[in-house]
Amino acid sequence: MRRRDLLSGIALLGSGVAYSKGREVEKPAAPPVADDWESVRRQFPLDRRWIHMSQFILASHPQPVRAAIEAHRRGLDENPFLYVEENLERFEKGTRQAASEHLGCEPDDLAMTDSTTMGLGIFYNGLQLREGQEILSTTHDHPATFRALDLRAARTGAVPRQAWCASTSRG
Amino acid sequence: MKDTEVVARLKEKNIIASTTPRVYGVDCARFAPSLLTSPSDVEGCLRAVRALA
Repeated sequence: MRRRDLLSGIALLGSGVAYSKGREVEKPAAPPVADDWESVRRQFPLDRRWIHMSQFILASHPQPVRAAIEAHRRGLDENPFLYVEENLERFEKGTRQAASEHLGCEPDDLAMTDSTTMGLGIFYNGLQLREGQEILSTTHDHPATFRALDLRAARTGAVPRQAWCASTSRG
Repeated sequence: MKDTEVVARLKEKNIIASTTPRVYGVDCARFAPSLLTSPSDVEGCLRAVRALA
């Protein structure tokens, strides 16, 4: 039986999220202990029969994040319009506030995007470039960078170039 | 051995690896450890790679 099949009727405690009465929610994992890395790993319901070496592509969510996703899903399902009207500004402000504290900047320094690809597209298309100027990236950059730079080049007359970066031994 | 075959062979041993995007110019199989990776995970990957040789 998978962990997500193990539903219990108790409400999540300490997640900072209000739940409707009587809803079944996932039983929370014990909170992580600072000096016990295994307790941190247990927050993630990864299938332990596998060795996961591609988590940067799609990541598993830890228990508090799953609880938040579930709360948002319910809120949106129960009253889509009101949930957004009452929470959107608060959530977005809160997210930027938390991120700014983590990064050591002002909340207004941060913009939220749907994805890294979208962020790169906005950023690269803000580059002020003149006709004939070169935009240098490397062959190791992500396709989202190549596409965005190609589009920026097409609009400005700049020339995208890629430098080959061979693996170099250190020392 | 092609990178896609390496990934397929690792998958048979319950290891999720991936290939580099084709646009990188060089095709490699890659392991990406994360904060959830344990020392025994790494040992398992190394054993699997040695077995491929």
